[in-house]
Amino acid sequence: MAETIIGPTIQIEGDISGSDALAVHGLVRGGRIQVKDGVVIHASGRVEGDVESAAVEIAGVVQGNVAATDKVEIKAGGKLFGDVKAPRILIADGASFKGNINMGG
Amino acid sequence: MSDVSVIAPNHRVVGTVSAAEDLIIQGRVEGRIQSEATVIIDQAAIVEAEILARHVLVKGIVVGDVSGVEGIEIAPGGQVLGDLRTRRLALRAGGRVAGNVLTGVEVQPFTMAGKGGAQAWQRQTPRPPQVRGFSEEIVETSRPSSFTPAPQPATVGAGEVKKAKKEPSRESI
Repeated sequence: MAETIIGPTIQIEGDISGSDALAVHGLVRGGRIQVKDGVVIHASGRVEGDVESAAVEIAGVVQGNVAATDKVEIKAGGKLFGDVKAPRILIADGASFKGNINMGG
Repeated sequence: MSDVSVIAPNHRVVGTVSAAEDLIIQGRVEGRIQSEATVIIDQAAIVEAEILARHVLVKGIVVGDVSGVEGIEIAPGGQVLGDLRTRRLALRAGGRVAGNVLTGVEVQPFTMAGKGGAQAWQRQTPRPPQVRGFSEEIVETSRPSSFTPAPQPATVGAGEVKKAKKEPSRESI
């Protein structure tokens, strides 16, 4: 199983696209993440930009819109500032979220 | 899940990648890669970017200039279409280079410290141990020039001056 891992001291300014899973421990800024498999933003991770994937898991910070074809999960301690579009949305106790939710229909 | 940073084979990154830890590229990167540590361009990876790192190991294809502060290694099957600048170059049998090669030159290393945002971010996140040792080394090499004026006022014995010279570098570590 191939997976992209953006380590804690890695900073990407730009876009990430592709089909494999993506784990963000560092910083992705100013671009757009378009990944077919899941995206996991770990507690130390930070994304400034839009995220599009099948499933998005947020334990870190995301500033941007998130769109998922399956689900978006904001874990305890996770922060999301932006709109969410997904058929299933989970917001854990202790998570923070500011934005609009669109669950389709 | 391993701790090493990887750009997976089916991923494409367009933009600037800055790193203070080792990074393995198996997919595609277009833009610029700058690192305080080692960058490995794996087999099947295609990089259309300028690369500046401490060490660069090329097993795949690089289109762009490559600068290695410590060294560059082109493994068998590795290809670089661009100029190489480094202190030491290892070109293995089967490796290809099309471009100007400059060895034995000092390459200005990349440091994430220069960027306010990145630095602030790093303070919150723990650095991997191998990186810590590496960054100390860089600081030490740049230290003698800035620290030479310090021992001057102490015109006592030669032995004492030596002591004074050694202390600052140890304290800061």
